[in-house]
Amino acid sequence: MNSHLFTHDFWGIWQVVPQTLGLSLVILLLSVILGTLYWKMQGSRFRIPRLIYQILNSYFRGIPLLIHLLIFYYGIPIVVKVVSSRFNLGININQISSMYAVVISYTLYSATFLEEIIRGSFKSVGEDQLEAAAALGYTSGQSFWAVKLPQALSDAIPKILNYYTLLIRQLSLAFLVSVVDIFAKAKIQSATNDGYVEAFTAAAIVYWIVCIVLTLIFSRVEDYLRRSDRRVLA
Amino acid sequence: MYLTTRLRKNKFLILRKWVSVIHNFAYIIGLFRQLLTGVPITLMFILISWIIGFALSGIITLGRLSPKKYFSFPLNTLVSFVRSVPIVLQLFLVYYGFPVLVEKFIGVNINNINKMVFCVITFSIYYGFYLSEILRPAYLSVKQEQRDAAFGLGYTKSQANIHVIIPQMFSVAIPSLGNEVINLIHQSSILFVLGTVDLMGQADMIITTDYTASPLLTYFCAGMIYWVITIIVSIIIRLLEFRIDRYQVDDVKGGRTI
Amino acid sequence: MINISNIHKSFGNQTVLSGIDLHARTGDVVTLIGPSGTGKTTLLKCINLLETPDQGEIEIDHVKIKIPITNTNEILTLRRKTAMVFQQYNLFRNQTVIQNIVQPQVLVKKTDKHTARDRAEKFLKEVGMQDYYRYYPAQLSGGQQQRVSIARALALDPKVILFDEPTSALDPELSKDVLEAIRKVADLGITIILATHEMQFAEEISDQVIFMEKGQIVESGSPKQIFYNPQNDRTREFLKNYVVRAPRLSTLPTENKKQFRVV
Repeated sequence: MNSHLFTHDFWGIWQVVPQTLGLSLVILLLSVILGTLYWKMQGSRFRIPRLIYQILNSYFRGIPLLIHLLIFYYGIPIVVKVVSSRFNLGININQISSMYAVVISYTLYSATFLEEIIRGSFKSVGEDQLEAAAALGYTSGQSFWAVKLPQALSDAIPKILNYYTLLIRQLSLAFLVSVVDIFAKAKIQSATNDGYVEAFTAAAIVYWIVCIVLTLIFSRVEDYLRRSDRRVLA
Repeated sequence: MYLTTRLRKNKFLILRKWVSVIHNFAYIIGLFRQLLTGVPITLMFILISWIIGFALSGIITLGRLSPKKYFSFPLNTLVSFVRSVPIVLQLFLVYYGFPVLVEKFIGVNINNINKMVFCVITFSIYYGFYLSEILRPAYLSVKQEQRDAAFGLGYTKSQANIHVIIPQMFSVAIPSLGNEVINLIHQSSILFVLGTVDLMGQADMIITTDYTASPLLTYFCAGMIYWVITIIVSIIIRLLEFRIDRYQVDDVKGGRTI
Repeated sequence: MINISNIHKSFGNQTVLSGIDLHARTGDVVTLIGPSGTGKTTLLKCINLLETPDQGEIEIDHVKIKIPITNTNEILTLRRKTAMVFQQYNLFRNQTVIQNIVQPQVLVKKTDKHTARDRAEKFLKEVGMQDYYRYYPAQLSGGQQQRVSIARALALDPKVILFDEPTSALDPELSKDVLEAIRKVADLGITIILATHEMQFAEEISDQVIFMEKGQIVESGSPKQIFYNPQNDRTREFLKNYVVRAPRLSTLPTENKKQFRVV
């Protein structure tokens, strides 16, 4: 192992950390929004939204993320082409960034998992809390905003943050569609410098550092959110 | 005259349409056929990796539960590493790094062994550490009361573990373990980057060798097969869960649980 | 039969037991009473070494252990002279009622399965739970679970059974059956050490009552002494809430209550 090459790779890879974190964050936020929508569909009174949710859920969870990514990568240009020629939009399909494929496929995939987190968190707010609110004369809107939502959020946020670290790792598949994240950068470095072990070791260490730092921050957040659950030890 | 030609032309068109439908249908059948040749390899890989990984995770969990720091500390560090690094990167690390290590320390050149071996090594290690993150909390979640009862009745430590704590640990862990099996199936699709001949590898091969093939259709068909596998495995897990979990019934008699 | 002397135990800097002595003859029923958090549970757990005392000596049926423990095998030998019934019943959740009683016999006593099963059925009948042998603990009420747990303890044929507030997680209705079962255990002539808040029951069943507070024995003696003629102010204070109703005085069971025991 060449230590000079290793340091070079390490700093090279370090450059793409911000964009990896940023892209993951975008996907996470979109997934939270879509996940909330899924949650609403799942709990809907009507059959059709529930059915659509079930099919989407089974489809996106039944197939590896990798394949979703490739399907969107090859599928988006075709759809855009059809739409563009129908409405004379004149979009050049060769100019569509593969970033779209990443964001769309990852969002659709992650949303099913976020829906599960959101549903679980709202369920975790006990009936007793809502009964108490009702007994105190809260309106249903008040009891949602003042009681249910805050309690559900303090349960959901740590889990969502945890999912964020998972997304960062899952983003490593994006190299297949030439979107550059930490892993893709390592792959490029390894090919240009002909040093596989150095580049991949450097990338692994970058991932490790990022994960440890994020986990530390997130556990602080979690401690803060769960402060009411803490028991004071005698 | 005009009418007959038009009719004939129309007939011809309908015929051509049917020919094309049949052709496409035959094409998709052929596609599935080739993709399916990869399924036994995918399933084999999953089975082997799971068995080795699971066995490994038992040992790792045991080590991490040990009160001795020199056992638990290095294992905990490795767990943190394995959990932080994407599996595809671990695969490349093993694929490129392992032969170098082996050559350096044992002096054997293993560059030419089957790529599947590297895949199995990577996934076994990954799941070995990863699953211990499920088993350890499950073990710790068994209430102290249950241990007290076992020891109070005069059970030895291993008797308490084998007959009381580990069975209860599994009923806690089974749903998560089931999720991980499905995770493993899905993650195994990344193996194709090394050029394996599993399900995803077959899809990749079709696309690279035959450039009339539509990547979209090919990946979609591969996806369908993964979907079916996932559904079947989920059903099996559900049945297993039901069997193992049968004692977790709620208090039907309204007994008080404090 | 049981000789316990000078038990000390502390968790961190919190002293829970400071110098407890306890003696009981075979067949005695010893009751520990006192406010909550006074170390009754810890004392019971020290007797079968679920908690290791910091200091002291424990002897049960000629097995003597002095702290610090040098031979860990002795712990098991001592524990196998005893059985424990817990406040939270602690039945094995993954086993049915019958398995809960058979398995300890097979593992601890090396009884063969058939005998173990017969014995299990016998003791289940004893506590009135014979109809529930295929149930899982989660399907039973607290009182039922506690009765099964008593049967489980009995099946091991112990020299002494330690009861840790067996009824305090139950409502009065359910405790009645459990207390009935404990009375049966006493009738079988098995030594009992019982921590309880059921004063009336303690008064009826005990040969010796120990009033504990803050990890120390304040006063001990026959139920008659403790309940009707306490010497210590604290004991009097504590028992103030337990009003002895006048009619009971006449029917007060005294030392001679052993005469109707079926041994």
